[in-house]
Amino acid sequence: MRITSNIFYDHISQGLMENLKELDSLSTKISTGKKINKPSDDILGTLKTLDYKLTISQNNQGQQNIIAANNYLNFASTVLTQVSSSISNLKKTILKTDGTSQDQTYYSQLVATLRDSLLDLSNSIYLNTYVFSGTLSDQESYSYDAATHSYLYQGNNQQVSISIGPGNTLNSLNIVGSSPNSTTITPFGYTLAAADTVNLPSGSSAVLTPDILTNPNATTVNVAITDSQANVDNFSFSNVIDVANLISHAWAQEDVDGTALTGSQAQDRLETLSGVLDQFQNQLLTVQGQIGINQAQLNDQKIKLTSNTTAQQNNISNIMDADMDETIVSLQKISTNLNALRAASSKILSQSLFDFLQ
Amino acid sequence: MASQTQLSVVSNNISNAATPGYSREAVVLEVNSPGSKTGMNSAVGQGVMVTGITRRYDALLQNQINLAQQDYGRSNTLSQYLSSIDQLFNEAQDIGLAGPLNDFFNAWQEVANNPQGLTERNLLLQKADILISSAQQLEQGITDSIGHVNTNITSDTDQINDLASRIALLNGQITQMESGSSVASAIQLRDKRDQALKELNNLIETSSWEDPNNGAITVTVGQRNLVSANNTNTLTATYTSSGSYDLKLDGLNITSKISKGEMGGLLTVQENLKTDLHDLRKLVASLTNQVNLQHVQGYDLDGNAGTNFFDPLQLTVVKNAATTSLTATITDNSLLTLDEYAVGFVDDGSGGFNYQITNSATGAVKTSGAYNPAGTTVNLEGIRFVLSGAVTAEDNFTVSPLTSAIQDFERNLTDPRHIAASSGAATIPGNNANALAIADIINTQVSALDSGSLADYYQTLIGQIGGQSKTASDNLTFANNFLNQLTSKRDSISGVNMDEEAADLIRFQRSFQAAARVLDVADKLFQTLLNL
Repeated sequence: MRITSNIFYDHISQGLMENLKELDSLSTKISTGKKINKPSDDILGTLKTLDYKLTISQNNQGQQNIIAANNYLNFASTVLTQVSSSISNLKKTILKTDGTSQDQTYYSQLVATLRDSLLDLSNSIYLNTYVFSGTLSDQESYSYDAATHSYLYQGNNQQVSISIGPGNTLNSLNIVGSSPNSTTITPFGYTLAAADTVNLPSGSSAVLTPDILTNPNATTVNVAITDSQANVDNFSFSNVIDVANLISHAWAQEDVDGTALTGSQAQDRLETLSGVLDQFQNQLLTVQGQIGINQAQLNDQKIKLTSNTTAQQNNISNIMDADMDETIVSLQKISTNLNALRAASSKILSQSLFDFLQ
Repeated sequence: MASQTQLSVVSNNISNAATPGYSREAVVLEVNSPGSKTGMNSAVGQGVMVTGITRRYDALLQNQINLAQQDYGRSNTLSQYLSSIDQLFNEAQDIGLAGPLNDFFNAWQEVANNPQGLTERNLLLQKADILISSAQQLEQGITDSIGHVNTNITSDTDQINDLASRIALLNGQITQMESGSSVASAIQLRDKRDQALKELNNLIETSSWEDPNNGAITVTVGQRNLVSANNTNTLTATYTSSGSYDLKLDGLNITSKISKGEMGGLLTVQENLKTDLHDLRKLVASLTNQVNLQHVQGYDLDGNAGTNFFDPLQLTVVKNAATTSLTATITDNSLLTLDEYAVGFVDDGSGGFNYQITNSATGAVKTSGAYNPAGTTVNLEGIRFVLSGAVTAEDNFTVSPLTSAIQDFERNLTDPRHIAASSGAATIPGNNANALAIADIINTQVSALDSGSLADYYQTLIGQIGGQSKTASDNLTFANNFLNQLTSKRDSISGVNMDEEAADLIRFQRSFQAAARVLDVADKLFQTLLNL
């Protein structure tokens, strides 16, 4: 093949251009640390990375949701621990009395304080929302109704779900204060599926009958106490605050509307409500247990998400990250090639027969 | 004289060593025959004569270079434009829509975590704004590229016409010169014409052949004559209502026949960019529609039914050629397929017309029926088409829910309280079911997106853009290497080697010196005779 001056120039120019392109590509890899710097560098790799990034983004959001849910459940659990403590104190007042009138007044006031504390606890606020009001979270869970002398649930029994990662949902995150549904255990509303009879130390018996019609959001429990001959007392409650209120007034030997009670009526009420308090403690244990289960699920899910995120990040790293050792060696090789080409070009292009003609 | 001519040719070769398209010239020498001399004189030669000057040239190779130049022109153009779109959607560097899209749907989850929190609601609105501006920037990037392509189509058309005129002019000059005896001059004109033809082939796909009778070449583009002898037809680029260019030569539309050269590349890029733009708009339209459809099912913080989160989709009606009028309105967003429609008319054979609505992309007839000029209403896939007025068979419209999907992509909600996170009016503000449902849209399969999710569809778009760029880049590398090989081959035949020329220079100088010496001896011999 005949070699002409232009062939030299073209080949050298093309060689320089190719080497410089490769040098640019390698220096981009070194400066970004990535071997894929645009989709066309590796289409499949880019698409996989895009998929991994979406998963990581959703995992991260899932972890944020888990943190928020855990904080909520921790708060609810702390409140319910305080509720349990208040109920224990209520129970102690019934067990510790010696029946003197001075004690009765003291315990009436003490229980009233516990009642108010329970009311405050039921209306606990977390992040500007009432925790135990269901989805009606801008309303207090319980408020006193002067007409019925009882504490009414203002919330609903709607459960809230949250997403805890791609395709994973935690149903029933929130703890509703009360529910008419006897299968839903709540911390403040009394759960009673069917009528229950309690034999009292006085020989009387108390029949607790559930009523889900009076209050749409709660199970109202109607209590009828009868001795061997006739009905001697009737009262009702639907939640632990009502119960505390009844106990407080029973200590004062009066009904919640101020109507006087006989000593035996008051004592029967206290005895009846003592068993009810035990049921509330059981309900709290169940709810706390449910919180524990939810937190365990959240923690499990968090570990899974963290592990999955790490795996996806490794995948991205394997696809995207440049092997720096290899890149630097390649860079060195290209630099050497380029320098050799420049030196050779300089020699080739500078020589001509004309230089030797005198 | 022969040596002088040789020295002149060498000098010309050296001068044009770097001239693009120049073919090395050589002097053709011939022994000067003794003519009518007889006897001893007939055995003595009469010296040398120059019979012509030729160029070192391989017509087949030049033709191959012209074809390779067409491929190079196309590949270079494709690579140039598609790599810029590759950079626009550079998800490898987190540039594109994936981040804003994920953030938008994650923000819905934040709202779900605290449905009555105004902070979370405001954050969602901000994320929606970022998503909107990102989508609009991407659309702007593509439309800017399309605009640039359009500008280049018109400027290339002008260049093609200029080159055609130059070739026609050279044809005329070559014919004129080669019909006389000035062969050397025609060689240089042929080089010029070859160079012009090469430049033309870089711009557009051509075929050419030379008339052996007069040396003129005929150049055709799309099977129509662009140059014939010293005549040209003007290539025109006409912008159409569909947003593309039609190339017409000699009165005929040759657009579909142009696939190579820079022009072929530009036409292909235009189609690629239109496809990318269509897909991006479809993605945004689907996002808008899906979010709105779910949002209106919810309730805001005040218990009011949700309104559209984004401004709803609008139809764009383009009247291509019509005396009729068409209004199209969306009646049911849930039925939208996000397809584009072509509305046309077909003669029913009895003096009337039938309307026909087809899917623009597939050409499939979606519905048809008798057309009543007083007013014809057609309900199809959530759209009401109302046609009226006198009609001709040429009348046609295009109806698209996508054209303005990104341009009109704006947030309808301004008040964060109006975000409908709840699924029930009676369960506000803590109900987050609707917010969760919207957050899940990113992974929900949508029939309008070929039963893929928004995330899947976007990934397909990225794959498509990356694939286009990668193919263009690979093709460019191949075309460039092939062209370089052919150019080297041509240079090995037609190129100038300075050492060779230097050697020739010495050779012809010596030849000249020897001839001069002969003259000197002859002169001295003659002087001797005169001095006798």
